[in-house]
Amino acid sequence: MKVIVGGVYQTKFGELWDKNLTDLIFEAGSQALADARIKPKQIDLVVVGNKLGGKMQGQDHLASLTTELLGIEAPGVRVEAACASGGMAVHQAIQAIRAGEAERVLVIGAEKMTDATNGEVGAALMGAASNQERRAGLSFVGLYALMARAYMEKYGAKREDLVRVGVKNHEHASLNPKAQFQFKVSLEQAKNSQMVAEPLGLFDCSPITDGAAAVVLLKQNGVRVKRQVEILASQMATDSLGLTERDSLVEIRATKWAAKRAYREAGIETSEVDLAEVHDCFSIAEILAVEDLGFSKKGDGFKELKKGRFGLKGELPVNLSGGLKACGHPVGATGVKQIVEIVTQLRGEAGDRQAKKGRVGLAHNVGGTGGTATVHILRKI
Amino acid sequence: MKSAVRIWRDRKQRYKYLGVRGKVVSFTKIIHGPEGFSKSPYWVVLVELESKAKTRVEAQLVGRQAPKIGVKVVGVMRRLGVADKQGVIEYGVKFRLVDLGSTT
Repeated sequence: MKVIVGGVYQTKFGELWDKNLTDLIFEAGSQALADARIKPKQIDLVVVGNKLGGKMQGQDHLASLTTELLGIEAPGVRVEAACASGGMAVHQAIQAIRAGEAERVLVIGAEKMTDATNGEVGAALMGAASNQERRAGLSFVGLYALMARAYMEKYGAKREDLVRVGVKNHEHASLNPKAQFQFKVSLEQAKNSQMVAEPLGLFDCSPITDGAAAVVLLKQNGVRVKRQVEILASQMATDSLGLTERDSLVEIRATKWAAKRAYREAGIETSEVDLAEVHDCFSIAEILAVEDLGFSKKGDGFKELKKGRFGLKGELPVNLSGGLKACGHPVGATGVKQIVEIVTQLRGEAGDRQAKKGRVGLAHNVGGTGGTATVHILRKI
Repeated sequence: MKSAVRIWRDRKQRYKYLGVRGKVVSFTKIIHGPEGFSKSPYWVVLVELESKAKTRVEAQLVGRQAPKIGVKVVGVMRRLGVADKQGVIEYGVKFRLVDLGSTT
């Protein structure tokens, strides 16, 4: 059975002082429905991806809130999988369609983060880490810094090799009107930025962001409609919560497992992927992602980034939205936004940041330091 | 939120690595820590234990001295973070450098 993407929408990402979580959910949901030309009453399932609603907004019951807001008379469910909540929400929606439980599903990922202080957000996000990691005073940037240090030691990467991820993604975001940071940064600026957790500095880190994104997923009914994109594969994998339980600090196994299954499900080779949105919560995460997804050999990701392979004009553009680093990272929305970006690219509607090749796209979302990963592969019909 | 009973219930895990030796396999200097760890900056080390191959532990490093990959450390009991609103002071294991010059 084919599942197609009928409609997509992303709100502006950033510090949206005039919008609360409810406003973001309403805007994303209603606009995705309008893009799909589907009325709220035609939806038969709603899936909401969100991580921090309870801690940041005092509101956990988001599925009910969403159906009320949009006038949908269908069951709803909230999905939480740390920063992979959005990708997992999309996965759950696809599973429901494949199981025959739904035919028209609205998926919304949303997060409102900027009302809290950085310390409060940092502590709340650590709810996705192990007890030992919390006791150690680690933050997520600290955890990825441990991985970055191990990678640099093993493969000889330098700090400038890491910050190049941010430079590239800022360049892409400068072409994306929905991005939080629509400006370029130089390698020098990025390299000399303030440290957050050594060896990672400000331009290695994704920001705190408000935003929402939504997709309408449909069971293919045989009618060919313009601008259609199909889901070729939807896979997820789960690994240990803590970094200490992993065999290696320089790979994310959940990504490898989910990717392997996704390529098999899609029936394609890695080389057939034309563009990707990967989880660059920190610079090292994008380097690990391009390796673990099979785009580069282990230890070569940063070298191929330097040669321009993953830029807009490169052979395999990665994070044309600006990624988490520069488009922004409203955690529950990110995985859905990645699908929105891939669909926008495959439809040929990405404007100045349009990829030159665009038939097959991949979206990769990670929760925690790799406790969860989702991989989706999409193809233009 | 910290509570005395929650910390007590967690005691087996909390003090498991007291007096245990290992070597640093990665480390970071946290410049801006999460809420509850106000004495930034501080070092956090990822340690592979001598006694159990492939067993790794993360903990803060005592003091301001920078570690290196390969240096030996030992687990010691220290106060963790700052007291919360209820005044609960949390203790646990941090690592102390044994010999900064040694990189076995």
